[in-house]
Amino acid sequence: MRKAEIGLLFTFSGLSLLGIFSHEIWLDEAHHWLFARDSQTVQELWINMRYDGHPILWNLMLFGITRFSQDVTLMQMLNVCISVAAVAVFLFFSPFNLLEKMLFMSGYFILYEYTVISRNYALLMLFLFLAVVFYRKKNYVLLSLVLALLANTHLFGLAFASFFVAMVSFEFISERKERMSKQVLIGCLIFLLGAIISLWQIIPPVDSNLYTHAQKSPPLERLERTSTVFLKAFVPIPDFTDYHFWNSNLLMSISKPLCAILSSILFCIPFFLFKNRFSLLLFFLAVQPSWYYLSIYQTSTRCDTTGRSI
Amino acid sequence: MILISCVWLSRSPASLYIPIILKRLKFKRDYSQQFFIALLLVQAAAGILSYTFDLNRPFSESKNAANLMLKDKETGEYLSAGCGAAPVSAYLEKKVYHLNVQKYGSFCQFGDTAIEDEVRLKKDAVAFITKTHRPAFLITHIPLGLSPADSLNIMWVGNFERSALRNESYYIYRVQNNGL
Repeated sequence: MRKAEIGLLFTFSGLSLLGIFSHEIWLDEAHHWLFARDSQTVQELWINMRYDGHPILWNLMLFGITRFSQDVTLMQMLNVCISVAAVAVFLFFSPFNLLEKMLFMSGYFILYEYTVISRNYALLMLFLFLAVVFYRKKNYVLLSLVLALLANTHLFGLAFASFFVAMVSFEFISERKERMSKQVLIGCLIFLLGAIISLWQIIPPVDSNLYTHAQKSPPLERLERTSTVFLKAFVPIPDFTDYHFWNSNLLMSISKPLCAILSSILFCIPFFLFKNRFSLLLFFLAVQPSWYYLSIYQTSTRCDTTGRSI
Repeated sequence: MILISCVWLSRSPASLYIPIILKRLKFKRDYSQQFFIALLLVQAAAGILSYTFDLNRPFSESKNAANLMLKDKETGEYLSAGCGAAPVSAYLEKKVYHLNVQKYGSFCQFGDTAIEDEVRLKKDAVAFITKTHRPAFLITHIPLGLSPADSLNIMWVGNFERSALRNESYYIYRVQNNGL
């Protein structure tokens, strides 16, 4: 074991714990916790969340811990455990140097949004990192298993896992690296099963307005939101001049035209970074639009029902 | 996350197949490493800033609002206009009575819309305590205008409006039947 990585992991764990103990949960975090807490059985949990558009995995984990305690801190602790596990995978298995690891660990999404805020994103990160590790190790059964789990974390997870499979298939075909072994075949079946289970959960009942709500917004507004999502992903610096910093962006507050230009430049990132790995370039280019599309069109039923006005 | 995974994969042996157009994409010097570090630096700055903000200011006022209500051992009922008090319910470890659907609940359910009329909200809150003969806390997201007549039954208890999220402010009122 490398001492520097162990030190980094301890530091990250300490910061995560400090972060959750001073963080107060909000509606999005509470929503899933309450699904789990106030469902008596797994079947009831399933019925309660059928309009939510998320796979059950995160809620199922919460359901498990709510059988022991109703203290919401447990959800935050669970999320930190998952996040620390993901960071451990990254620290001990990735080929990055120490500076890159330190910077990544301190990043907005890792240190803050996926760790301090308890949602299903930490699970998504863990399974995605494990998928990278198993793919590099050419362990296709475990790869398919984590991709199946990834597909069951979130709608984004299903998209990531599907594109990951497409990328692996592309590399198989274009490079003739592997023969269609028994291991690969079993892997395909496991992933397919996971993807079908995920889809079955995600598709809401016919009377749901999950995918119709956002489509009412005018095209210009949607275009603006698209560029916002793109910029926020790469330059997520909050507007610290605003007390209500959440979901704000410093660059967006300074100049929207500047953001549009910056967004266009940022769009070239994959061409620049992955020009020697065509399959990765395709994977990245496929994932990005799906992320933006889903960020804009996937609205929760909560939008209509929170009663925030009063 | 996707970016880091892709860079991670790109550092394993390169694939054989590269389209001609990408092969032609040559730079005098390859700045991709510096560019990658710059991106990580921006992300780290954003991470440290957001993390520090979250340490210094309440992200939501749900916990503070719940703690105040939990101090009152005599009042064990909680009312809200809809499911907007869900985070407070999580900290209370108890369901809240949703006046819009006239039943106890916690998470948001498809099709339920919260009460938007303040007069109706106050009326329903008073009707609840009259029916149950139990005092209750009313949790709202906006301050209520209390007339002298309202003040007979509804008393302001606290404002919680320092949340980092604009819509995670809470206003707490105690509703009790003065005839009790």
